[in-house]
Amino acid sequence: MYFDDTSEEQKLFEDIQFKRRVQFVDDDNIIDIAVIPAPKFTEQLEATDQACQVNIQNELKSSAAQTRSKKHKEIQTENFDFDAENNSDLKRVRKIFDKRAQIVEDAILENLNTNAFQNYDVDWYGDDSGITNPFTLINKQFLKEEESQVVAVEWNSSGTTIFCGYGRFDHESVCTHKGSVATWNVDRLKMDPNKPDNLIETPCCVSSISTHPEHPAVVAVGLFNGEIHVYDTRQDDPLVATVTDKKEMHTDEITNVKWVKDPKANKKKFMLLSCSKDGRILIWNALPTKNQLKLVDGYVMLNDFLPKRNIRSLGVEMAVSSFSMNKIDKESFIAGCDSGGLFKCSFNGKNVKDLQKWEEAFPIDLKSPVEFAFDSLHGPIHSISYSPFHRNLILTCGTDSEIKLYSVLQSSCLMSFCPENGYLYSVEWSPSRPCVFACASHNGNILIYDLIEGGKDMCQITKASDSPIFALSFNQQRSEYLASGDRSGVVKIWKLSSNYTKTDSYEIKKLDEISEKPFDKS
Amino acid sequence: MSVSEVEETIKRITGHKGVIGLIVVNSEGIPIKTTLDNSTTVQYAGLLHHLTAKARSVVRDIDPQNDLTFLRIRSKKHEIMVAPDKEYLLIVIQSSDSNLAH
Repeated sequence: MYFDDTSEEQKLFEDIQFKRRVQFVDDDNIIDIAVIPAPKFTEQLEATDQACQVNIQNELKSSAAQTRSKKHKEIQTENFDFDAENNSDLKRVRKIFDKRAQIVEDAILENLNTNAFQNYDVDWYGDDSGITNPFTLINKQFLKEEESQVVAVEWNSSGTTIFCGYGRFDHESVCTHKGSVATWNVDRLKMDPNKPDNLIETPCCVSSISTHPEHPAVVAVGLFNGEIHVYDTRQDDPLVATVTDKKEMHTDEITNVKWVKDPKANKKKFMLLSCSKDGRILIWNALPTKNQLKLVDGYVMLNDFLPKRNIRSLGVEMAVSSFSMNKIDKESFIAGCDSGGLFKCSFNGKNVKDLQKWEEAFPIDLKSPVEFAFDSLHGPIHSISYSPFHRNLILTCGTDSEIKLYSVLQSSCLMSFCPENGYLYSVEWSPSRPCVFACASHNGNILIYDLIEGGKDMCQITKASDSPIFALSFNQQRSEYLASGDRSGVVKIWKLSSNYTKTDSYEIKKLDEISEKPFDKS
Repeated sequence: MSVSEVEETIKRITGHKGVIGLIVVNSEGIPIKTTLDNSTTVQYAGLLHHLTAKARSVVRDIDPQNDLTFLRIRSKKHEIMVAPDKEYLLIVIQSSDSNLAH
């Protein structure tokens, strides 16, 4: 084999290696024993030894020394440079402030006092005015069985899915119809406008719906017979909570349900608020684990609160027809009644038994929420909307065919708009433009008002349907989408032009101006 | 002008109504002084350093005897003012709706 017959050359080589080793030891370097044991002439051993030598001789010794000296230099240089740079930096910074502070300050002051850019806007997107209708959603299957109307539409919290409530507004006595809640996800590629993604049937007509502010699949539904159902569309059995105690239940149609932040506790818990034609406003705690809505608090509206009341009607409940929460102050809300009364209310009311003679058996003591009564309107108030950008401004609309703008600080209205003859069913502020709101009319029109514009341009009318529009809902996440639902059971999704979604910084000032106008005169 | 005077000037400028921040950027686009947070500063410094260099080259290409003295950018939300110098840029950001005139 190779190792057995060691050739002459190899022997020579090994000899050299051995000599080197000796030399190396002589070299006064403290590299001792490890090298000395002479290898027993196998290639492997030699190889390791070689490696050893190389390492020690070349790398360890020399590089260690080099590194040390380098380090030393580096420290010096760094220190030196750092000082110098810092000094010169400071000098130059001083210089630039010496020279340039004045011109910048002049510019700042000029900006504060200029009129040049007032109402100036660049039209980057071109003229895309006008409203387009990308989707028309019809719940064909259900409408075939039941001649139903769309009574409520609302976008879910993520802004992708529209929840539509089907019911009827024209009951004569008891409700014998079936109702339903349908959902469409407008982002889905394979969305079928004639067939909803989810369809939940309800025992009687739906009268109001409210999507949960955090859970995109949860919706609260108020029914014509006074029941409240909370549905989760992800579940096989969607009904997750309902009122179990018959004594606590509303006795008439639920006109409004709304998820509200718990006004009492600071917890991030949402409570369900419902108002009904029986005059009660009740607050529920939804307990999905027990499949139950637990009554937490309750308020009652009485005829006694009206400014011009009839003595005979004292102690009689007033049907609550509409409701809106203050977006900024979570303690207060506005309630509108079928009698036309409009009230500023608060969750910190006193027990109604202490105030009025009102006796009726109810599991909890009901309170009076009213803080302040506005001038009454003529006829039922169908819709109230609290401005999301201004803490004092509210819009109302109703059977008197006027949209009225109120400030909560005074009883008479600030502005009123009378767009056309016929009832107005729904009014809502735009979530993105402080000066814009939309209103649904009996003639099938969607009216979009822009308070920045004057005269004729203020209102843009879009013919949305041949039958009256009952429901409107802005998409809170994508403010260019507006949904409408009409009496024939058709839901339409509208895409607004960019001038209804681009916010202008002067708008909030304009709202301030409007709300403070009456106080300027005095 | 001492260190405290520089600080005083910065304080005075940022004390004006609507002023959001002040940044001094060196010729490499590295921020040297700032009143804003780290990520905002780095973003403003990098982008405005480029833009100012471009703007300056535009001015000088049109007329070699001319030079850029001041750059103001008006946007919906801000007015960005850039005062260039030999080696540094002084950047001040002011909100554009802090107007007293209306």
